[in-house]
Amino acid sequence: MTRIGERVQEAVEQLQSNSNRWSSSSKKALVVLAFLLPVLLAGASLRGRPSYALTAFGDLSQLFLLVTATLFFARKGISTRGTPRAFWLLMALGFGMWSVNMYLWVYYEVWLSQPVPSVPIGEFLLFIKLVPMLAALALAPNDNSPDPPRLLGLFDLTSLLVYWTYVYLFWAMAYLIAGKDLASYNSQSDIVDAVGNQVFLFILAVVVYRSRGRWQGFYLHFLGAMALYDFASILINRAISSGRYFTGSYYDVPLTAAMAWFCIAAITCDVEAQPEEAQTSEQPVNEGRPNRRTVLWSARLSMVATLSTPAIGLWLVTSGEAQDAVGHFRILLTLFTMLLLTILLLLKQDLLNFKLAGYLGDASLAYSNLKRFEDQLVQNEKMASLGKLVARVAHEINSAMAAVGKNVEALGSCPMGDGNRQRMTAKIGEAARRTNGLVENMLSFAQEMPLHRSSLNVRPLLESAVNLTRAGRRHSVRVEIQEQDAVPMVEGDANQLIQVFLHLIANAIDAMEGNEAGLLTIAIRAEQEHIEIGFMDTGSGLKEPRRVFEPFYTTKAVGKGVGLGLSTCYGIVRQHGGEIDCQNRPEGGAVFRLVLPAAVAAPAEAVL
Amino acid sequence: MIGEAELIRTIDTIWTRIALGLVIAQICAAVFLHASTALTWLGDTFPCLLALVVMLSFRSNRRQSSGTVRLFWGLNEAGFGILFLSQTVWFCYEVVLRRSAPNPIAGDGLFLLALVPTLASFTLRPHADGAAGDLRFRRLDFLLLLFWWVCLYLYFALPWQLVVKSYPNYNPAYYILALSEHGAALAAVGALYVKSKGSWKQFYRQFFFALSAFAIGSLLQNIFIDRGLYYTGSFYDVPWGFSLALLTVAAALGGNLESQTGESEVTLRNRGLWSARLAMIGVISLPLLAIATVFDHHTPQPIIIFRLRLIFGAVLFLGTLTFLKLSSMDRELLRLLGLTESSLESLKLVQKQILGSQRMAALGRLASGATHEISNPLTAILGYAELLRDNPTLTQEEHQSVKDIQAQVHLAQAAINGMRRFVRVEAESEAEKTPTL
Repeated sequence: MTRIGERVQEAVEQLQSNSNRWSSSSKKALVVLAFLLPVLLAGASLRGRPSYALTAFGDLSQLFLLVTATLFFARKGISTRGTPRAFWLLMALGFGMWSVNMYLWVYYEVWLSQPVPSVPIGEFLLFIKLVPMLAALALAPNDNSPDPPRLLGLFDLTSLLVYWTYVYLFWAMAYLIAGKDLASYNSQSDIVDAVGNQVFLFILAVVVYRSRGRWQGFYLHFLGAMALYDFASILINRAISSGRYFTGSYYDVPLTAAMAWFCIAAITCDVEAQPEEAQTSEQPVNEGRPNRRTVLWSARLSMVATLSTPAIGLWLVTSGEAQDAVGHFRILLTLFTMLLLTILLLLKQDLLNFKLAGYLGDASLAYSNLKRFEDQLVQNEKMASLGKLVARVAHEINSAMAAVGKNVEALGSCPMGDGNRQRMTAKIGEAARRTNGLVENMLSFAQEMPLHRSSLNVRPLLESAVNLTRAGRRHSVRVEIQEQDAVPMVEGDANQLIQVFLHLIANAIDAMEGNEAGLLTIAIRAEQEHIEIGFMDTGSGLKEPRRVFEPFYTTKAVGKGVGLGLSTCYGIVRQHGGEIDCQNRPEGGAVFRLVLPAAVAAPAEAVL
Repeated sequence: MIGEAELIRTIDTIWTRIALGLVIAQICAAVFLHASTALTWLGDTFPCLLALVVMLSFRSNRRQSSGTVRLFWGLNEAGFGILFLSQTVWFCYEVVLRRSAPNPIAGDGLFLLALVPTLASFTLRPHADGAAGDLRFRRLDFLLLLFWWVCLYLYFALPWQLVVKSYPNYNPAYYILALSEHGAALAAVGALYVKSKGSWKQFYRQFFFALSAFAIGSLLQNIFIDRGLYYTGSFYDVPWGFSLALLTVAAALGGNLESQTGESEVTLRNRGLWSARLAMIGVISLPLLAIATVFDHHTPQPIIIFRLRLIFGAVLFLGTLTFLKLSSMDRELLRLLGLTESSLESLKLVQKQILGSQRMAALGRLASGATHEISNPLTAILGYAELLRDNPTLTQEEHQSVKDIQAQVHLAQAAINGMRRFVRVEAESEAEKTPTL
């Protein structure tokens, strides 16, 4: 499947690049040709009388213009994606229908050289061609808001299309199908055609008003061509009814010009040239709301359409129009349309119901999440206030130790004195330094400090982390540190690394809470240019090993943690150029594996 | 399940007693009296009173309950209120005005309507509760169903009274409608019986019995009316009256029931879905009926016209209702969307705040362990200083230095102790300290 998909993709890309290669020059030629055709026709028709050559020229040039427009729309559709693709393909479909209608004219007038019979299928295509175009407009490819409720809009759209078809069948076709009354059919179909064109023009004008940038340019062209076409078809219908029309006459000039305009618009439109940039720069504040409004509008329109069918039916029955065959046909048509529209309504309601259920779930989930985090925030703030107190106390201790250090210096500087006294003094100094170091370690937690790298021995760091974690707790968990011989030093920031160790050790001990035989094994191994530290516990293991490093991921009860610890660890380890991962051990419990780069080889080895 | 004695105590309410008394009186009247004005009078009074008693028994249930169950009883109360009304219409015509009642609209129509609220009450599934969230939408669905049912009556039966007067056409249509309604109600209550448990099951079973008696009773009445054997107050009225007495027993059984929670989220959500679908299928059936009418060449033209008008009017009305519902659903959707968005925004804010204070909080969590650790070297310093102070070789200045060291350590210890007190207070509010983030 994927291979076929790839091939299709390749083919499309090739087509795209090919078309780009030949585009610019041949496009120009086509545009010039499209310009020339109506001018030539105007010249020919001003002098000419009805002749086969003139008719053939008129028909063929119109067919050529329509087919070209269709092909260019289709090409655009193939080379784009998503909503624009649907837009262009629908456009191509509309123009394709029109081309088929035109082809029928060519077939009769040029190929068979006989007057065109009133072909219902052709007329129908001519009217119905507006439907895909309308659908294309309703897709609103110019509006790229993030999550348009498309599916709901699709139901409204389908209802409108059904209704559009219904109007044509009701108004005009009824005479032909049920009444066999060609004259009424012709006059009515002209009226319906004209009304359809007006409605389409109006919608197009609204679209032009609401769009921006390149798309507005394209829509404007389209609007102009459509208006010209509208004018031309009214003109031609008049001429036909007064019997002065023949294909290729000067009544055809505006029509051909309108087609040429469509064709040029199709060839030259380059709204997709920079779709993303153009849109985002030109519509910075177009988020959701206008789209919502369009949806509401189409929903309202489809509502009016749906409700109008029973009203029309009621009118038909009450006014006694239903007596003849046409009336009968119309009643049946109305009933079937009503059926279709109500089925669409049911589907829409179902969809809405499902969406509502989904949104209800989302909303309650979001709300309970918020509640949880709010509780955690309260806990966190409490801890933070305690942390501030700790920081203040730490400063007090530091200054006290500084004073102690000064006194120790004073005592130590005295030359005379026995060994015992010297030893005592030295011990006091060492204890003061140790206190200082501990306080510094603690404070480094509270501040963002730049990495202060040095070569470190891992084992003492681990030991002090273990001591710091276990201080003031019940020691139900044993901790073992296993070290391979000759583990190299690592390059890193002692404070930060000890923070990581603290988290991992505390997590492991938490995981084994209440477990009498709990054992945390910390294994240090050297591996080529890295050292690897494994923290293996005998707890219950991790629920989702893949997610533990995500910020705010936690399995602890509210108030016990906010799930930032391991994500912080991850950040620190990556900063050190190391790696951290975790998995569940087959024999139970979890293992966190920490890999840190070893310090650059010692100078002694370099000599060797 | 409850024991026999307790069962009797449960169903022995004032309503069941009255109902039983009425049924016995009805039987006596049917057996001992012949067709006469007095019997007609009595025969019209009994159903009236029985329907009233059923309604009142549901009413007393409603007053004792709450939530979905309350709505369930309320709907049933309304239904039998309608039944009471339809019987009153008969009573008014036959007893007060002393002429035979005009068959269709008031009596029959109301009689058909009476079971619709009961049907709607079954869709509530009162035994399996949860938060009955979208009652608003379901009320509209109920309205749709009610109106649809009225339409069916207007479509099938009424034209044979209003447009072309023809009892041979009217009566079967009416009977079939009534029968299908009873069938639907029985099927619904049967489904509930299968799905429920315990006391609710018992209640549904009784309801099922009562409703089947109701259906059979009214079928019997209709059959004997058609055969011309029926007269008001005759023995043919008894089964139907008895079914009403059975209903009061059902009400007594259901008196103290409460809905059992514990249904899964999914089924809760899907509940509204089905009543909505049912209502819409009702709406869709109307154009289908109309299409059938158009192709029906046996029915007289005026009736066809009447039916078409009816259907077009009905679809217009039902369509309007549906769109009202859709637009309110749409608004609800937007409201939920807004709610979700604002929750997510607040969530982001809260997470940001947590991130902002996490380092300080980490320090706070470390406090108890760290103070312990720091205390050790401080105590060591004090010990060494004590030994040093006793050393005789110290000069006066050096002595002062040692004293100074001691004083500083005391200061530090005091600070730590102050913090410890605070930590202990905090620790009491938290269950247990963990030095993790």
